[in-house]
Amino acid sequence: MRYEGAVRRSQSINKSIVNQIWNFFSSVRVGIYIILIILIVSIMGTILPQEHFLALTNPKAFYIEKYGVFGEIFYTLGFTRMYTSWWYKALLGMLLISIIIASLDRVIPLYRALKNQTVRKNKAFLMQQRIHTQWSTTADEIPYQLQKLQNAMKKRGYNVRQDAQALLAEKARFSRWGPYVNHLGLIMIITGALLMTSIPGWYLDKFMWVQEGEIKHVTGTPYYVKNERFTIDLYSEAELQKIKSENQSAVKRYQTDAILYEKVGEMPNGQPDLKQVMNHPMTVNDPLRYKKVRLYQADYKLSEWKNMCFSIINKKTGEKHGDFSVDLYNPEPSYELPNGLTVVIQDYFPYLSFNEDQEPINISSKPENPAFIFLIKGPEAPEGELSWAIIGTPLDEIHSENVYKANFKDLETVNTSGIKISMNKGMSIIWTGAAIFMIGIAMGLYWQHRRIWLCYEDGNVIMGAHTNKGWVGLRKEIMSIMKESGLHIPDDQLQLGGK
Amino acid sequence: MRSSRTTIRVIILLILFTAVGYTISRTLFYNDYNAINPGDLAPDFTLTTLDGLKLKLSDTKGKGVILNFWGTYCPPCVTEMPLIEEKYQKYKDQGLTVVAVNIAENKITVDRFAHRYGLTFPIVLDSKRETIDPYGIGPMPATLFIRPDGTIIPIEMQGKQTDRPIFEGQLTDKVLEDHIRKILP
Repeated sequence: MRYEGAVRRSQSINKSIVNQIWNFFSSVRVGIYIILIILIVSIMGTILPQEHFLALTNPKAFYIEKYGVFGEIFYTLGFTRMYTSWWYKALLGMLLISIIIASLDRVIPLYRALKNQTVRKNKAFLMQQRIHTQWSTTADEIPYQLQKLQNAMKKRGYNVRQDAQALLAEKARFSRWGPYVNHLGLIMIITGALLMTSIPGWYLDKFMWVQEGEIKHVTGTPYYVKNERFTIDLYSEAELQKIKSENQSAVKRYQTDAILYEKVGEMPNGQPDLKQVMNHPMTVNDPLRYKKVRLYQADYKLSEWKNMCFSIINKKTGEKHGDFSVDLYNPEPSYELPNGLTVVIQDYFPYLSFNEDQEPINISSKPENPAFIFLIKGPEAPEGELSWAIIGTPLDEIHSENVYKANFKDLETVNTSGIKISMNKGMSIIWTGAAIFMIGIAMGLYWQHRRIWLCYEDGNVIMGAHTNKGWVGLRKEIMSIMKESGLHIPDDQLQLGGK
Repeated sequence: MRSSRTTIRVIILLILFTAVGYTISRTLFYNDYNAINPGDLAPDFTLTTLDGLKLKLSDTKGKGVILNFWGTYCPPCVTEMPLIEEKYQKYKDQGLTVVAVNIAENKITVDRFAHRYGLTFPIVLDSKRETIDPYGIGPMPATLFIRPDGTIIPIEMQGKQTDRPIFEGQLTDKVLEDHIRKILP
């Protein structure tokens, strides 16, 4: 294949190892095979779910159990963590090298050839063009004719060069760069994808629960987030009628009022020193955006137990000795009550259960079935008496000797927001690449590189024209240029050649 | 002219292969799922012990450290605690220490648990789950073994050294003995 008469470089140089590697990557055929392989393995990877979506402790066992022999093969071949595997990246890398080298190998000769075009071409060359014609004129007439043609061409956006009695009119040369601009876009997209999956801290896709009032570290970032309040707004009666909804409790908005902090240092006690950087009411499609990090409102839990309130009662007299409230996430070791009463928390099980030996054990870090052993000291029990407090369980029998009793009084709840954290630093490169890709497509497809050569020889003007596509349009344009210049060429003398 | 063209090609190919090769090597030698790797310095942290004292991990330098991540709600964590205590008693005079990081529990629950099981090694409370990220802790229990110089040793499985820095799952007597031997000063 030739580009503007110049032999493609890869075909003109003897074969040393360097050149063989170069030629391998320069080959369009090789490029297409690489693309096909990437296409096929990418499709393969979607057959079974990828490992990192599943959060498994033993992925191999999972795939074997769920998908049998196929699952085992699939896992063993590495398809379950394919898109970040070294060989998938190697394929992308090869495609990247192929695109870069193939482009360099073609764009440089093309650039040289187009830059060094001669205005005067020989007669045979012009007559070979698909669109060509000639007419006779005189030496006196020719400067006048060329001037008129030039004016008409310039009016149509042609860039005209004259060399004695020859003309070269050229238009939209830049459209020839379209494919290479296109390739540049692809290079950026692939580079972005490779960097995103390879550089730690470029890509993040995590989920976390944040309780109202809680400040939590945003995994993988220097930020901390506080959930000020989580609310659910329902549509009002009037709004429901307006949208003719049957659903009486249609949700209008899930919202987390969030504050984002950045860790600016460490305090002497080892706690992070936080500086508020942003606050934002996050709703479903309106994330908190700070630099490259996005926090999305993704889920919620309503009314989780937070504080449990008890009153101490004297069982004999029925007298109330006051209330105390226990933070289920961070209880105080003891609570002082009026009348000389003290409640010490002897033990606490956030989620009470019993093991095989019927011993009480805790089975969760969330207080969803809290149980306390209180040691209640008071004037009538100076040594203190042990008292279990388990929700919904009357324990009066085991504590029948006790004077005091901790009565469950009240429960304070909080809401919890589920927040999705996403960060993708490669995305800006990928989007820029995609935009450049589109520009390249437009350049290559929408515009055409048109060239018209004219030369005067022995009483004849010979004209030839070339375009990379859109021959009919070029022919029409030439007809109108001729007409405007006062030259009448019969239609049949400017036929589209059958080449 | 030709030799200079070859030189340019060599340079371009070198740049491209280095860039792509570097990216791939990151994937090969740095497992995505591990925040840390064997041989790395153990990420430092300062947390509060059950006695209310600050414990800074890097202050344990000079001792072999068993760094254990656990919770009272995790049955295998509970099961392995007496074993860790046994090894602590056996080797503490030879320069072994244990740092047991409790993940996100309240002090009373942990304190009473330690009391019931007679645990004497330092237990620190990570109420904000700050250590999860730097260590890449997934399922618990998770245990790391740290040399006196502060570096993490690779986990050995069935007599073979792996590239994993964290032992996941319940510790056995053999696992503990095998790894303790490598971290004693």
